[in-house]
Amino acid sequence: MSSLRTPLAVAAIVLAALLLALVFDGTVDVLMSAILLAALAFSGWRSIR
Amino acid sequence: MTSGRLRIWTTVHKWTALVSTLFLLMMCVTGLPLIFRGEIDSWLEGETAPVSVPAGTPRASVDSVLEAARTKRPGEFVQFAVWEAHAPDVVLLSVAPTRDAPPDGNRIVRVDAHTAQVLDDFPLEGRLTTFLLKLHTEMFAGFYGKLFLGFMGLMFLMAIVSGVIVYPPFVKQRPYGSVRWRPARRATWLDLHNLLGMATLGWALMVGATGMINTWADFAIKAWQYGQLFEMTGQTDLAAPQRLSSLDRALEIANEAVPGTEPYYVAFPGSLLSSNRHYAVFMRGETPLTSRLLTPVLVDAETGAFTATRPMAWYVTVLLLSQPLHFGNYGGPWLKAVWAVFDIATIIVLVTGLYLWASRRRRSSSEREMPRAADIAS
Repeated sequence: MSSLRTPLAVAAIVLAALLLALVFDGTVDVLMSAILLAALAFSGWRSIR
Repeated sequence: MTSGRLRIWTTVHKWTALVSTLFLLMMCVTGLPLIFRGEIDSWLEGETAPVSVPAGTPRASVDSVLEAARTKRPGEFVQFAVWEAHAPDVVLLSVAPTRDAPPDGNRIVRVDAHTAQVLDDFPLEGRLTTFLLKLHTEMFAGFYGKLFLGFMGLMFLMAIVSGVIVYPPFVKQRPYGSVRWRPARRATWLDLHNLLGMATLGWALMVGATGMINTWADFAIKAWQYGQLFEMTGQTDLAAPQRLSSLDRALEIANEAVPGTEPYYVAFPGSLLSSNRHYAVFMRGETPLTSRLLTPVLVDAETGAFTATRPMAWYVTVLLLSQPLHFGNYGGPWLKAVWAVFDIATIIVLVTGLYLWASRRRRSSSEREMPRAADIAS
């Protein structure tokens, strides 16, 4: 189950960022988008090494 | 995990995904342009911009805005008046041939909020985005189409959960995100499927769940009509107003009834979201989150008297919150871009999943063929 730890953490970060963007002002959506893209990029960085 | 359990979960993942894949592909492909619905409408339909006015310019009365729409569409009925947060200088009026007609065939009349001049008048049907939205939400099959797609949403959620369960045995000890770029293409496709499937997990769970909730919108509206709306009016067989009282006054009453809010839209008497006699003024909060939450205020449309207000029923609130979380239109262009990236990644997950299934079928059938060929040879 250790192989699930990182992907579930990424999923939790993505979900939290999406929900935070709904709660806070629309101007923070750039920040939220950056977090989301970073999480997505982190998901794939090993594959392009 | 025992091999028996793994087999069960793999079967669940395979069949829930197979059953729903074609419909999910349709929803992802149609959902992609719908993320940019407003931009596409402005680009294709060429909406007229309102007159530019200095800050602080007073707005025209809402009654004069209504009068402009009625002059433009004589003999027709305004069913809804909408003030969108991102376009405060425009009032959208949804106009129908009868006061209680289903709103699907309505025309939209855009009126300048300061000058009360009609900007545009167009039917909802016939737009590319309306076509895509109908395909996306109901496949042109109405209520049953929505229920069916809701069921497909449930299959999608089951495919995601079972996919997470079968993920560890498939990746074994390889680090998260590693892709085997090898000539053996199946391994590469499997790794890409696993990588993108897990990378989009949080988004896909949220969009899948909120999409399923959105398919229950008709139920939620009916439940609200027969529940909270009935409680507020006290009776169902109300007489229609002989003449409509001032909507400006109704908005003032609604503002007094729910301080710290502003009107989002008004449902007119006889329309889908009101009684036969009342203006239903839906008030929204002023923060990003509360602007998504509505409080209904009923005002008698003949006498102009305050009737009732209640906090919105919880199931409608769930529906209201699930809509932006499904379509990704609650931030700005960057959030929309992120939505598009996730949508495209999900399309790749679906296509790679189909490829893996098809290639496995080919391989199993060729394995079945081989012994037969050997038998013939012997």
